[in-house]
Amino acid sequence: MRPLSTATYFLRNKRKLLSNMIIIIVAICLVYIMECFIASIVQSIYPLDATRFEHASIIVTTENTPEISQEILSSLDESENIDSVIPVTVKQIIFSVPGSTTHAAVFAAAPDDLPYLINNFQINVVDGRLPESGTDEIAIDDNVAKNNGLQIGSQTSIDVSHGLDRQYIVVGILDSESHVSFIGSPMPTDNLLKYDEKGYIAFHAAGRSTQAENEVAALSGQGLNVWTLARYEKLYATNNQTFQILDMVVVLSIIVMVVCLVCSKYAQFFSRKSEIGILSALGYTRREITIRTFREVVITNLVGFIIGLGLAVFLCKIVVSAAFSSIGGTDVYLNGKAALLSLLAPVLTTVFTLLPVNRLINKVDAITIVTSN
Amino acid sequence: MNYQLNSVNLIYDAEKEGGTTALRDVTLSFDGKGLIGIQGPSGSGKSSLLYTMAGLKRPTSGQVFYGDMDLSTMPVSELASLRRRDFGFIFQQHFLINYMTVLENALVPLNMNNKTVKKKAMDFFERLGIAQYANKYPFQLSGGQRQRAAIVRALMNDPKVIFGDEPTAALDHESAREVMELLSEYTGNTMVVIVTHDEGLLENANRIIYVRDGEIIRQSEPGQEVSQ
Amino acid sequence: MKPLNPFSYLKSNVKKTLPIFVSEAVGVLLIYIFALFAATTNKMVEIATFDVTDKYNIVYTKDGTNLPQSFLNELEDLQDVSVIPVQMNLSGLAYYRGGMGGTTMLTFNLFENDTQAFVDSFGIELAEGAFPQNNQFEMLVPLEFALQNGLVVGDYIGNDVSDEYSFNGKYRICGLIQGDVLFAVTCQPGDNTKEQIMSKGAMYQIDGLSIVEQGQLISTLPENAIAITRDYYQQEFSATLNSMNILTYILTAVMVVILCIALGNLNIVLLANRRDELTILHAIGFTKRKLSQKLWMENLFVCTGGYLAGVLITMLAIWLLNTLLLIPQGKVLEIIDWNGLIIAFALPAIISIFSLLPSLISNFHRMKEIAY
Repeated sequence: MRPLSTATYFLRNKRKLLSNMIIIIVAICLVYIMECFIASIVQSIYPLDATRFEHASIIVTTENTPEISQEILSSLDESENIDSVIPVTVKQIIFSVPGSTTHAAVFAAAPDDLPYLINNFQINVVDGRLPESGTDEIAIDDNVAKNNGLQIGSQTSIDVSHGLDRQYIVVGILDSESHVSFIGSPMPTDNLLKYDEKGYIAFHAAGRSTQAENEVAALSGQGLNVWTLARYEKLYATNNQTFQILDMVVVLSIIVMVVCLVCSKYAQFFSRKSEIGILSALGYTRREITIRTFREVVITNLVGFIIGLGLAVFLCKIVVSAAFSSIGGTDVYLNGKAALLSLLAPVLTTVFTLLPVNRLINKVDAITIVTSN
Repeated sequence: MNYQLNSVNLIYDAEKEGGTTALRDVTLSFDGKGLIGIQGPSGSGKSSLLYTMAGLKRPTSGQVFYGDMDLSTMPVSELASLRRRDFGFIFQQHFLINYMTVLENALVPLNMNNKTVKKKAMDFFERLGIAQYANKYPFQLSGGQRQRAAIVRALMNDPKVIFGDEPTAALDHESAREVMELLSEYTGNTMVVIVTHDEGLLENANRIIYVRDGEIIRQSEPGQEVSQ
Repeated sequence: MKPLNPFSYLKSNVKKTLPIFVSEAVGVLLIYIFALFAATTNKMVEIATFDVTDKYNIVYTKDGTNLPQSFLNELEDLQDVSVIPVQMNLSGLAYYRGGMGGTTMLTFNLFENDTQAFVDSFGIELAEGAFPQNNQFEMLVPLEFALQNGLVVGDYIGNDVSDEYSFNGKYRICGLIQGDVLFAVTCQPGDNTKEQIMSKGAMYQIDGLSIVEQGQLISTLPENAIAITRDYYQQEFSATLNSMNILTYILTAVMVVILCIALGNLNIVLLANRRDELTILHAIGFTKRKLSQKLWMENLFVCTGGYLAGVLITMLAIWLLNTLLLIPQGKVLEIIDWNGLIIAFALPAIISIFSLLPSLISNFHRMKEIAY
């Protein structure tokens, strides 16, 4: 190894190299894990809420309009934008991940309508069976089951305020991207249903989702509570302030870490002033010294980034998996945005270290170094 | 390579009022070989003269010719290349790089690591009695041993001119003699310019320049003395 | 000042200690900003939920059945306890944003002659407009909610107006209330009498009731009755609030690690430059313990200075943000959070010690006395 090579410097200054790299690695792990955490919350909640609206829109009665008129139902039936309109009982079951809580859809439908719902929501019965009509049975989505600690044979808890006002026995586990569950009762035709429990699912005709949504959305003007993908996305956009703030905290963390790293590295280079001075005296140009310095900084940050990213992905897999997928959420441990933000710390550190160090090298006067001591 | 200094003035902080004049109207010429000594009291400008000749300091006015190259107008990068190619430096402080071994420090001017250069360095170390410390770090050596390592560094690139600023100040008398004997071997086809207080080191000098208050007050060569 | 006073050193070495000061300030800034966001979120949840249930318990059924007569009789027997018939059919449908998220507000559907007393019991003032009248589809909303949604007295809200509201119908904002608790009030009893509404929903003041008495009342309720109490909200929100606190601690811990390493490097360089000073002091009789104390005090002062600067800058920045942007939008960030201040103080407290250790160990190990 040549004496002035980067490898020689690293070999002879392992402690400094390690301390610099640890900071970069910690910074990358923090940024990456936080971003993956945010992405996991989004991926756990959004599909649970939104995916079913890609297949159908949901119309729910209200206190002012406790029944949907036959006229409305006929117009929907006849519409070429709507494939089918299925009457359902609308309930909810809680679904909670760290940082966010929502409610997953639970429907009851007539036995004749169930196959259509299963087919169009693309649901697979992975275990057990569908609930029998008129019974307090539930076939629950797999993710929702995990989240609530339920399996076949167990009972749901009563959550009067949000929907499941009685206990249901789990008889089946379902799997779908719509994350819909089905209960045996109360049936849509039940007279005791409250106004916000009666509803219809309007399935979009193939290739006509937008038109179907628009048609159904117009019904909100008639006193009905209508849920479409567009409405959900609008609501979601206004409510994701938390993620924006967390993103801001991540960026702020990067800035803090860059400041600390740059101060630390500049101090290290400052202490090498005499080395820079003697190299200049021995005939190394400022360009050669700068290139050498540049290589050291870039390689330190690059190696720190690679190790940090690898470690971050590994830790993320463990942490996020434990926090999310074990409770039915979606764990995201490979995320482009997270990787890109993680790259910011070493890149900014490189740039903001080289600028003052370059100034330092240009200011160093070999004679001042060799004559002062 | 001949050296020619024409009316060289060096003023520190020239742009400020009351700048310090380190060299006043210095005119000198040298053949390209031999041992040149520079003597004078503290603050007389001896080191300034040395550094001006070495291209480490640019004169405020006047010219410094090394062969036909005018060092006073040469770009900084070319000066650096010249120093690396033709000059060797021995400073009063060793300025060894702490995290490199003694051997690596010696190889810094060449920035090479092959067997040939390593053997050359080891030969020098043997001559100066520090071969056993080649793989040690500077902080593991005494002051005198470090200075000898620095001297080896100065010789590695087969310099045409060796500049020494009090090179033996940190050495005991015996070591100082050994160093001067080594340097004397180079005076046959290399110019060795030494700044020193120790007249005993310059007994074999081809010329001694006496400096006071930035002026050359006299020069002496074996058998003759010239006052300015 | 004595020559070896820490302030003496700091006064003459401002440039050298500036990187430590700046790093500390920036680290504290991050921690404290996050803590303020967390505190604001906590406060938002409190004023929309806990502060209501600290004064009233709300009990109602959602399935149309009546509350048990025994419960209603017990309520009647309570002395000096205000009992108000209430419908909760619109509750949880208006969204209020604050801090790092948002929460739905309680919306009380009362009789008009109960409204003012209810609002007054929280010390809330009517900032603008008037109280709602029965069956006029009018609603009293918090001023902050109005600002957030760009609403004034006379505007309409509800699903009929915009689908960003989750409750159906069209309600005219008749008044804006301002106070320390957040809720909305409307008066839509329909044709029902007070007794009819009371049989399905009531809220009662708990100020004069002991915990035992409160618990006894709730225990008489059937499973289909919903009781909105402090415990109810504790269960709802504890996970979310805990996760925010945990995030604050994790962020602090990471900052401590990073700053300890970064400032540790800095201190090694700074102390290496002071080796002669320390060697001479040691030679003339100052023990290594005394010297360590001096160095630690200097480091502590710099770190504490950085902490104070970080806190003050954060408070100033948040105050400016509130004044210029957030207050007009009905969102306010907390400026002082004692919990956050204490957590952020972990930075100077821990870093002043641990960032100094490596340099003390390496320098004192090599320190030699002056040879005579």
